[in-house]
Amino acid sequence: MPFVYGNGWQYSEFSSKEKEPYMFYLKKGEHIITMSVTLSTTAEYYRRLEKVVNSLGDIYINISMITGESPDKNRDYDLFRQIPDLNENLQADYDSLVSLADEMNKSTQMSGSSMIAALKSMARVLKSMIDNPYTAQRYLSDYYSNYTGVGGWLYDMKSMPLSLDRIILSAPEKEAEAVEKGFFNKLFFGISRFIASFSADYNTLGTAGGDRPTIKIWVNWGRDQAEILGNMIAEDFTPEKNINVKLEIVNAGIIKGILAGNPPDLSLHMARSEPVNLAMRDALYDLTKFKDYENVSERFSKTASVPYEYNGGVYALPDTQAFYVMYYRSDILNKLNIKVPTTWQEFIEATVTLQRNNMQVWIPYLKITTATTVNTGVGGLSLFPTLMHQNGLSMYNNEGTACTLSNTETLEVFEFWTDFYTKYKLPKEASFYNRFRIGTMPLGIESYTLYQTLVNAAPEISENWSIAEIPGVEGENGKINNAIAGSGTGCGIISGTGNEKYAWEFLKWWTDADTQLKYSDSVETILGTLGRVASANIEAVSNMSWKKQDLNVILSAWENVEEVAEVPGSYYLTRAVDQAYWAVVNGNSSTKEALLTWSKVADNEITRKINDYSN
Amino acid sequence: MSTKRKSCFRSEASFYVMLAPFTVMFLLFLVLPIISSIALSFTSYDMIHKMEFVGIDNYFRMFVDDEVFLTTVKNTVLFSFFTGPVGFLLSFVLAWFINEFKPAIRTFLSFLFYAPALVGNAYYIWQVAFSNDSYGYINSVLLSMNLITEPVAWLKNEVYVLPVIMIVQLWQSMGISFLSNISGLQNVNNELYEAGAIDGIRSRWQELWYITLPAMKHMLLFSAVMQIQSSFTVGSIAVELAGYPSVGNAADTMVAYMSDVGTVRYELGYACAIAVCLFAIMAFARWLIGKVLNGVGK
Repeated sequence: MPFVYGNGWQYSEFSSKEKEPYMFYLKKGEHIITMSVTLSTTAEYYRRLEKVVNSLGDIYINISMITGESPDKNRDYDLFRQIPDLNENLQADYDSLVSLADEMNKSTQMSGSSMIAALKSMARVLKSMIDNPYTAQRYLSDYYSNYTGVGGWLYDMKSMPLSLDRIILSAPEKEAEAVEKGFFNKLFFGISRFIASFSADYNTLGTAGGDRPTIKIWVNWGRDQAEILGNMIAEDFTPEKNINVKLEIVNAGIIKGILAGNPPDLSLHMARSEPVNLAMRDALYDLTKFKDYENVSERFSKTASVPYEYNGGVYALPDTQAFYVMYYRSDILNKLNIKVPTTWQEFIEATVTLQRNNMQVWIPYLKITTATTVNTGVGGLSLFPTLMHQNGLSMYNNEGTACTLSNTETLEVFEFWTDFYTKYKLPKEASFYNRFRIGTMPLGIESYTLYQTLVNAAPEISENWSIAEIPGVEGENGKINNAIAGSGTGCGIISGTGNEKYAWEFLKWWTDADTQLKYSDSVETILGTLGRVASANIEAVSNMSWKKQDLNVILSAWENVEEVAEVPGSYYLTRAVDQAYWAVVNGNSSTKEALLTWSKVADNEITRKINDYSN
Repeated sequence: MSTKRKSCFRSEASFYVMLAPFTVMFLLFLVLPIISSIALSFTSYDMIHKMEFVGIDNYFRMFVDDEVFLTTVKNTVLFSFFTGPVGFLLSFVLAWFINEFKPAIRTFLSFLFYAPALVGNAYYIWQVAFSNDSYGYINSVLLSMNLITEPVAWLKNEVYVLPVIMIVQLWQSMGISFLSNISGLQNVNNELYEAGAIDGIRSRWQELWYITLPAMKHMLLFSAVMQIQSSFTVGSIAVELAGYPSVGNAADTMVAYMSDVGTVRYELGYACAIAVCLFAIMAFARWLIGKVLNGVGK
């Protein structure tokens, strides 16, 4: 049964071409009715479009290897002579696009206008390139933007959502009534719904009632995730442990709650530096006081709880954890005979080769835009802490009272890192996902959570890329040290509420492998595989659905994660590293000067904070 | 005597009643926070532990121990000294030009200029325009005209970031003062122009200086106060575009620094001290504006 695109409710029925409704014979008893989704005629278009998109992608890579990303307008590149069969391929793609657009226009009325417009626009660019072979490079940026547009539609084509309201079964003689509400009905309903929204309680989920103790949890999530958690609590947690949970979606800070005298008992998904920030103000409960803490901490990687330690106690359990892996386009690396780098030397050699072919390489850098990005922790913002750990250094001194930015060994690592930007001119800001997909950035290091995005939103390159562990520093005995600094969130118990025992039961249940797996799977069913949670529980992640060899890479990279500690005032270190980085990369100061200036600022703040709270 | 007073009061009672809602709001949400801010600035308070009275320690620390604070003061003053008067002049000149057109075109043009302030957070579009990579609008235009060879990091370079934020703020500032200028220009009595023409005014410039400006003095004062005062309180534009802390602290304003100290570092007493300092600077600027504008048209 075809569903035609439209924004309002519509009725369709199973009937033949002559509008004779089909009869279904149902024996007496219980039946299960299932409907499954097929692409039907659009599957054919999808296949053809996929072929065209693949061919367009190859052409783009070939052209940009010769011209670079911003081609010189006044130069004669003679593209059709340098790239074999360029004009024939362009012509073939042009013909396919035009015929696809016409056929789709005639047969289905999908979101006809914008998608077909995208196809026609791409065809127009191809025509201009065919008609002007000597100056074809001028259309390169137009080509790129249209190509991403068409590729985007390829992805969207597979996922046209449909809302089903009701299925009506009726006897053959009776006419099924198409229920249509009039205007006034809709108006009245809208008004009453509006009035009801003042009294309906949208914020509280979870369980209540009975003679059980209650704990209150604040989460800063979307409604979908919070409802999933609420359901899981009602189904699993409360019946098993006999504790009620009041789950509230709150967008305020814990501090404000404590100030108002109305704090929650637990907080989930706290930003990286928040547990230590709260712990030093005596707002969180030391988890090592519980006897079974040792058992629970084995669910996570070795160093996962380091960022949440303060003064000998641990104040949060790791909730999510992410780290870097290296992404590479196997087709492009094979074409240029580059082997996948395992040490930084090999990485630099690969970079140089790629740059000779007008392509680029990406190493991670997350811009500090708002205060919350500062709370991500220095490990997840750039490659610098990772490089420090690979060289056996740490970001803070042993007592955690000062940072190590002013040491000479740090200077060497810092220079190595900023050389990537100053000597090798790696881009400081780019959309790695887009360029990896197009092929102009075939090698890059990014968080392993990008894996899901690439798998889902870049289906046209699904055979052509893979991940590997990031390069490491070669030690004296030839062993490669590829430690990685991670990032993530934690969950902890607020102190002073009297419900610590019950809150601990919840935390144990929440960080358990089964619960994390179930939560991630439920989020994925609603948000798609892009909603997969980067859980800190190793067993949970292993049981999610990955490709086998990629899961092995992720697990072995996970063994090498060495988290960065958090000390009071750590956000100043994050800022100091960022400021020093920009000062050097903009050419405004030397590495030594930048590090010395900013390490003083960071040390100042750390000392002040430690003094303020050293009781 | 007393009956006269009573009847005075009674006849004015209705005015007091009409004033009451605004006065209550004003006292509660403007005056009370200012007083409590000044009080809090002498304490050290982190919202969880109790308040500690520390005297003028906060002020001491501000001026002697904190380089970032001094940089933010410099940035804020630079910022307002540039965008305040320039924005004020710009809105007046634009209003004066637009005044010449027919009402229909005038309405359309004033809508066009007022739109940025109307839409609120539309300055986000500048983030795309000034983006650091080669696909940002300005970078790609300059690259294609071959004026630069690699993308310029507009928002992440100490030298460029403050001018860029100033430009965005100017674009955003065509707000209330612009509208008030237009209405002020409309309300200048036409007979004054006729009288001036008879008295021998030779050029538009003279007409502007001798007739229009003095007639609009109150409007000008209002517009100047609004413009310059609001330029001191720029915080969110700088934070959203340049990030906090901006590179080399070059675009941090006092408001941005204050919200960082208060909400990220939980040092409420110190944040209040900064607020009091900003208050003092703005009061001084207001006095300065009054003095300058008194001399207009004489």
